[in-house]
Amino acid sequence: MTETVLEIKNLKAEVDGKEILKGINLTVNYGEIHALMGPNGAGKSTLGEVLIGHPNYTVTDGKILINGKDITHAAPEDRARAGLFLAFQNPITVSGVKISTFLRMAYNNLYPDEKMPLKEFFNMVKEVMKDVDMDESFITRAINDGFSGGERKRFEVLQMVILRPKIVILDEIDSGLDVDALKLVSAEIKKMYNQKVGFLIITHYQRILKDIIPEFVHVLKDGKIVMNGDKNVSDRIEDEGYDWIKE
Amino acid sequence: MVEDYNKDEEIEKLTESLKHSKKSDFEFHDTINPVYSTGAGLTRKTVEEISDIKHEPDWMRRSRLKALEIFLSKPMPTWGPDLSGIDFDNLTYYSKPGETKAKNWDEVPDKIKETFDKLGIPQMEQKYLAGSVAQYDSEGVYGSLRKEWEDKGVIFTDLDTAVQEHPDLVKDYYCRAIPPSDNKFAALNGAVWSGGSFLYVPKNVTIDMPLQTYFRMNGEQSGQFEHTIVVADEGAKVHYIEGCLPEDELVSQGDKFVRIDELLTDNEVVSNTGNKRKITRKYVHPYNGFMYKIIPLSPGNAFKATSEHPVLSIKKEEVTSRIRNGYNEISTKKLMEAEPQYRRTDELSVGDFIVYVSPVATEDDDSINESMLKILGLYMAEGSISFNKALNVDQMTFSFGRSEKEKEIAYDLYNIIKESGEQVNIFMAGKKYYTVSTYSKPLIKFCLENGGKYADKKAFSDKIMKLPAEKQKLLIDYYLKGDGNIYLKKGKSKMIRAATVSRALAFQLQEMLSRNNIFASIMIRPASSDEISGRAIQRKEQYIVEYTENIKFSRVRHKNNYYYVPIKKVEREEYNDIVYNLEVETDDSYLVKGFAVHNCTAPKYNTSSLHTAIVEIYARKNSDVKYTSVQNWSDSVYNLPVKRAWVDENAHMDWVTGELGSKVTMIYPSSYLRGRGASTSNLQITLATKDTFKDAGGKALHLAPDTTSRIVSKSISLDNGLTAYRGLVRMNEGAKRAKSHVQCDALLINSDSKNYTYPYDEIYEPTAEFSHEATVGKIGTDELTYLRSRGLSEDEASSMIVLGFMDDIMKEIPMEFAVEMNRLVKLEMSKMGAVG
Repeated sequence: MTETVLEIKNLKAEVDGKEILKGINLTVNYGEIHALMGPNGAGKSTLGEVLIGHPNYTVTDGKILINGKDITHAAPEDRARAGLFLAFQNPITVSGVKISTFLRMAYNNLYPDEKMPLKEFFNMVKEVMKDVDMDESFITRAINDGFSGGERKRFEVLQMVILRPKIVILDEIDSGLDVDALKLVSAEIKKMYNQKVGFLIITHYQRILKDIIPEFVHVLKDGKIVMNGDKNVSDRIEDEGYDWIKE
Repeated sequence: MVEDYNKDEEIEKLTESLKHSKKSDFEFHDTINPVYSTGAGLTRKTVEEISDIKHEPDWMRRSRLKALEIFLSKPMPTWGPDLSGIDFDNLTYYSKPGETKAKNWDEVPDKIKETFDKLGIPQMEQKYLAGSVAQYDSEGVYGSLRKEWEDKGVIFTDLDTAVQEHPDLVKDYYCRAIPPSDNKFAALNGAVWSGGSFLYVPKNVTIDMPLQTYFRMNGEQSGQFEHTIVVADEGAKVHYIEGCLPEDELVSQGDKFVRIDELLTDNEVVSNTGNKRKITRKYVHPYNGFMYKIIPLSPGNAFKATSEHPVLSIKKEEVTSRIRNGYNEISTKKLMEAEPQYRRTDELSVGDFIVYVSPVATEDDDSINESMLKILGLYMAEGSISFNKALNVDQMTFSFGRSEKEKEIAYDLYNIIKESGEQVNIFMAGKKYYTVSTYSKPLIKFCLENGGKYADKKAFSDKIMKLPAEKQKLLIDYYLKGDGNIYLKKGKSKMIRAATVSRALAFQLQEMLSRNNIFASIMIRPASSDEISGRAIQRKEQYIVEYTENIKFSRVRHKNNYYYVPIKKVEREEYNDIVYNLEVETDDSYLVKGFAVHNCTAPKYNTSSLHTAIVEIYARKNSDVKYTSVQNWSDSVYNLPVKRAWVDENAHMDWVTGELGSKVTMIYPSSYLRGRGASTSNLQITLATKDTFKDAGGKALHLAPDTTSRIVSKSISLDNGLTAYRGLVRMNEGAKRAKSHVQCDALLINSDSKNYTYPYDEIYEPTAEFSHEATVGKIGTDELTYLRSRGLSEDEASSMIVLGFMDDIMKEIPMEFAVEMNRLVKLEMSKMGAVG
C-alpha cells in the first residue's frame, strides 16, 4: 500500500518578479527515494527553499501538500511541524545560538507532547552524534559557527535524524563530504528509508546516488521537470551530462 | 480628585490600556499633584528655592550656586548626538510629591504604592525592597535598611537625609570624582540635584543585596536629577543578584498544574493569596549556577528553583519554643502568629516551613448534582470508557473486586445510576469482578468532559475544581471508595491513602482536600518492572495521596488558606540550561507545585524629557563594587547621566549598564584606576529602536601600575536606530604592565539600522598591553528561516538570535536585561511586520 507524503501540484514561484519555478508536479510516497537532478541554475535549490517556505520566494500558483494537508502558504515552522525537513546546501551560521538550546527547542516544538527529560534528550543527541561522527563538544558550540563544510553537512544529518521528519529533502548533501563521511551519511539515510520516510535528493552530480539508489529520477531544467525516469537516467547523465535531455 | 480613585478600577484601566496599546506599558503616569514645584525655568532663584525647601546647610547651597554658574557658562557639547531638542527653559527642575518621605513601608502613601505596583516593584514584602531606594519624582520616598546592616555601620539613605545626618561624610565625597566643572550636565546636576542615594559600606563589610535603584519620572517635562554616591571603604563588598525556575517546573492554574515553559502572557495562575491572577510577562533566561530542590514533608510536591529565587517561608528559628537535643520544637502558637516572608532558596533549610496555598475561587454549578459527583468519583477510580463495536455505542464500565465491600460499592453505584433514570447493568465477570456498565450518553459525556480518559491522563475539569468544598468532599469520598485504602495506625490515627497513575489527578486531590481543611501529602512510587507468575509487568509511576484525618498527628499547620509545611530535605545541583520566571499581576507571586514563590520584577519607566543623574563611586583599597543599572525611559527622554568610579589599590569596580529606552542616551561610565592593582570591568548593553540614538561606551583611565580594565559593549539597532560605541582607554606613563581589552559587538536588525565605533586610545606607557576587537552582525531572513524550518516560531527564532548575541556576557548581567532586551526587540520587530 502506498501513501503519499509530499505532493507538489503545478507549483510556480518567483523571486523579485522573476519566475524560477514554472509549474512543477511531483509526488513522493512514504518509503520512496526520488532524485531531482538538473544543470546549474535549473531551480533545484529554489524548489527546496520554496518547499520550506523561505520568505524570499513568492508562490504564484499551484499547491504543496504534506500528508494531504495544504501547506502552500504555511509558515516555515508549520511545515516543519507537518513533517518536512530540508538539509540545506549551504547551512548558514547563526552565531551565539548554541546547538544544545536550539535542538531542544526545535524538538519540543515538533513533539510538544513528549516532554522528554533534558538528560534523556541529550543522551539521544549524543548517540546520534556518534553515528554521524561529530564530537560531543559540538553540542555547546553555536550553529555552524566555524564549522567546516563537512561538519555543516553532518550537523544537517544530525538534525534530520533527531527531528524525525516524514519527508526529507537533501540539497547537495554530498558536497563537502569525504568518502568516509559520505558512508556514514548514507547509512543514516538508509535507516530512515527503512522507516518509510520519503526522500527527495537534490543533486547535480550523482556521487550520493552510488550509495543510495533512487527509485525515481526527475530532471529539472529551467524551472520545469522535463524528464521522469529511473536509475538509467542518472547513469546516462553521469556519462553524457544534460545536453541530451530536451526541454 | 485623585484620592477618590478606586484602586481596582485603576488597575483594571491599566490592564485594559495595556491590551490596547503595544507601548503603553511604559507610558502610564499618575496624577499626583506635587505639593511644591519650582515651576518651569532655571535661574538663581530656582536653585535657592530648592536649597531652601530642603533646609540645606550653607556649604551645599553655595555648591549649588557655583555649579549653576558653571552650567550657564559652558556651551552644549558639539560632538555626539543632537541635543538641540532639550528646552532648558521649559523644564521643571524640582517638584516635591504630595507626601513626605517615609521610613517604613506603612508610611508610604497609597498612591505611591499603587504606582510601585504598576511599576512591577513588589510592595508586599519590605525586606525585598530594603535593598533599594525607590526614586519617586525627585524625592527618595522609601528608604529602609535592614537592621543587621545598621548594626554593621552601613549607611543607606537618600542623599538629602545624608546631607542632614552625615554632613562630614557627604562633604568628603560629594562631587569629588565628578566636579561640576567636569562637563555641562555634571554642572546642571550639581545645581539642581534632588533625590538619589547615599551608600556607605564600612571597612570589610559585605552586602549581598542588590544595590539597584528604580527610577521613574512622573509628570511631563520634569527633569530627574538624582545624585548617587557609593562609598565602599577598605575591603568592603557590594554585589547584585537575581533568579528563576527550570522549564519543567509545575505552576498552579487552579484547575491544574502546567509546566512553566508552556504558560503564556495573559494566562491565569493562582497567586499566594489563592486568587487567580494574570501573567503580565514571561521571562526566559539561560542560567548557570546552583539549582535547589526543596523537598517538603509531601515529597511529591518537591520543586526546584535557582539559589536566589524568593520562596514564601517561615524560618524554624522564629517559631521554636525550645531546643531539645539539638532539635527545634515548634510552637504552634508562634507558628500561627508568624508572618511568612519571601526568602532566597539558598537561605532555606530542613525544618523551615514553606507555604502551600489553597485556591479560594469557587463557582458552584447547579447542573452538577450529588449523584453525578458520586458517579464521577467512582469513574476516576474504577471507570473506563470504550467503544462497543457490536452495539456501535460508547460504553462506560466500572470494575470492582469480589469482596463484600466491593460488592456493596458496585450495587451502590448501580442504584445511583438507576435512580438518575439512566440505563445500567451489573454483572459478575468471570466470577471475579463485579462490573457495572452503562450506555448512558449524558453520563458518559459528563465523565469524559469532567474527568478525562485513560488512567494516566485522568484529571478533573476546571468546572469541577471550582466547585464548593463540600461538593468536592463528596466527590473525593466516592473516589476513595474506589481507589482508597484506610490504615489504622498505632495511637488510633486513621491514615487514608489512595494511589493513582495520573500526576495531575494526585495534585488535584491534594488541592480539593486542602479546601476541606486537610493537607494530604503526595509520594511518588517510581515506575518499575516486575514479574508476576512468569509474566513481565510494567508498572507506571504511581502517585500516592495520603492524609490522616486526625490533625493532631500532622506536622503541617493550617491558617486560613495557608498550610505551613515543613521542609524535609534540601538538595542542590549544578545547572546550566534555560530557566523561566513569570511576572504576575497584583500579588507578584505564583504557586510552584502548590507552594508560593515570588515572581520576577523588571523595572519599567515613564515619560519625561531630561534625565541627568550623577553616580559617584569610591572603591577604596581592596574593596569590590558592582553597580548595575537598567534604564527603559520612554522615547521622548534625553538621558545624559554621568557615572564615574575612583578605584584604589587592588579594588575592583564592575559596571553593568543596560540602555534600553530614551530618545537620546549619552553614557560613558568611567573607572579611574588610581592605585596599584586596581581593576574594572564595564559591561554595557544598548538598544536603539526607531528614531533613537544611543551613544554609549566606557572609559578606563590607568593611572597606576598593574591596573587592568575590560570593556564589553553589545549594541542592537532596530529599524533606523543608531548605536555608537564611544570609549576611552588612557594608559598614563608609569602605569607599568597595565592591561586593557575592549570588545564592541553590534547587531543590526534592519537594513536602515546603523552602528558606529569611536574608540579613543591614549597609550603613553610602553609596557602596557592594549587590544580592541569589534564585530558587526546582522539578523537576516536566512538565519530566521533556518531556525524556523526546524520548527521554531518567528518569535522564538528571533529571541534566540538576540539571546545568542548576548550569550558571552549573559552570566554577568542581571536577567532583567536579557528579558527586557529580548522583549523590546520582539515588540519592535512585530511592529515592523517583517525582518530583513
